[in-house]
Amino acid sequence: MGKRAVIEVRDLVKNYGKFTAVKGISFDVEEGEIFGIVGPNGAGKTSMVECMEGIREFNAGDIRVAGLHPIRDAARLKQKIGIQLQESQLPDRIKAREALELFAALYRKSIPWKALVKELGLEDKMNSYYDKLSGGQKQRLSIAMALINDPEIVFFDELTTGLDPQARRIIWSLVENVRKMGKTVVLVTHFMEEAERLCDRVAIIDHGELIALDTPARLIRDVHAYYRVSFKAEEEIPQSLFEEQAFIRKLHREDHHYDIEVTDVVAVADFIHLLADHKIGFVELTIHQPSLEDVFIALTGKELRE
Amino acid sequence: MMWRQYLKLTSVEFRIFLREPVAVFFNLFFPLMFLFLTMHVFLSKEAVEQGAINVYIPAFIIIITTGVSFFNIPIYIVKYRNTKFLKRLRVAPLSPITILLSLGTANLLMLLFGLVILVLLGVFLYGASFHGNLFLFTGGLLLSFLSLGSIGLLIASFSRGMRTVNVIGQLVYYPMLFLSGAIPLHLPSWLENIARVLPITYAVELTQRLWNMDYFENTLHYRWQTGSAWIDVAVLSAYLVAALSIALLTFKWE
Repeated sequence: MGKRAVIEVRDLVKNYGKFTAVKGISFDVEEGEIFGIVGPNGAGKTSMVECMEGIREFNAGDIRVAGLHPIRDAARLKQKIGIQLQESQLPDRIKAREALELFAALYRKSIPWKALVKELGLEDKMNSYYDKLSGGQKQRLSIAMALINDPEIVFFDELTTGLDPQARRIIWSLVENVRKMGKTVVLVTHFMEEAERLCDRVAIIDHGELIALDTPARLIRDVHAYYRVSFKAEEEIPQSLFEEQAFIRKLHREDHHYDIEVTDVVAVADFIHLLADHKIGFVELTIHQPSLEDVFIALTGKELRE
Repeated sequence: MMWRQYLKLTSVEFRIFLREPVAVFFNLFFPLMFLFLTMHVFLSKEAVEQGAINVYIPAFIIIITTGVSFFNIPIYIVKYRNTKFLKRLRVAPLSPITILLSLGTANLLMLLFGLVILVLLGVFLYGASFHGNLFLFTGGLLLSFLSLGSIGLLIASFSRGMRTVNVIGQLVYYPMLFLSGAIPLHLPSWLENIARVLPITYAVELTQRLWNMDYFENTLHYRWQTGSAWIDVAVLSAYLVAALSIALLTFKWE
């Protein structure tokens, strides 16, 4: 906190005809952070970000990005920001190299793309046609294109949607590198694990409203999401064993399958000790750590799935 | 700055077109096929000896222009719109005019590429020769391209998907092709009347005039002729203004 705000959004409203996609949202994005905007499909995330990028006009409220108004100062703003659009594709028959050279030529200032390409692991793919690249490679190319003008602020919208877990992890480490370059990153995702792993702060959006904004750790703490331990006991456990334990919040049992909610990570250890002390054998033990996903369910009462 | 953007985008676009075999086939080889058919099948020996090639070379240049205008232009615009490539260009500091001018220029280059092949074959195989003023001919061709190309832009404005573009393109292209007088066909008079409404007819006539100048009047008698090239220019300009203004007003970037 106390850092300089590079994006200021005040009471932002965006309507599409009678439908209000963004209902008066305010927040700041601080310099050098990865700021996550999460929420289910149709929550208004992309509308909000496109207002910030200057792609869409907004109906009420105010926005400053790098001190500029996204619509009135659009020409200057475009030089200062890098954008990866949701589901945007390049022509099939453009070579990766040509795409980078093209976009480099569109900006007043551009960085040498060779180093960038190496960093993104694309140096072997420079002469490949776009339609021959894998999903992960396409997204890495779109990151390179977003960085080509050495922007102060980079917007990534659903960067890893549709990628396999391995490709997704590669992209995540690249996004972290973008922050290390000193850039501010705005990351739109409906993928909670991604937001939790990458973001310094997360804004949770639902039905066009901001329902929470904080660091992932504090969000999880504040909604009192709990650890869950599930296992299958090898024998009957006397009910009395659990009743004395203060750290057990909830217990659900079906035959020998137990599903237990405990207060924190220490309680998980205590609980396993308890089983061991009473020589209770167990199999299929899983521990579920509370995540942003739980925060989302707690705040909105609904699941968030692709 | 704008100049550099324009050149870069145009050159990338043109390279992309050349890599698409279907586009190359329809825009460049399809007209050549008509040239061979016309010279060897459709026309009488007498007409060929009288120099019919000089009537059909300019006509086939317009066939290429029409193919580029009604297929290449709308297909790429719709494709780029649906894949959000147009939107991606728009979020870069690039004016919409530069984007449209580059697309237009890349298509013009495609047309010139086809023109060069066609003219070279016409000259070497059939002894075609140019009897006009190069400056005027270029102007007339450019007007024809702008006029037909604007209709292509209009097709793009009214098409959502690739299938629509293809259907509209074919519905417009083939009838115009056969009615324009570019291909030697004997048309019943009611079809001739329809032909008089089509811009391509005037484009064919204008380029034929400008390729041949006064020579044209004395050689083959063409089915029907407007009194002067100015009528062709007026009709094509009217189509250009009307199609371009509607296309630009209804143009959708995403």
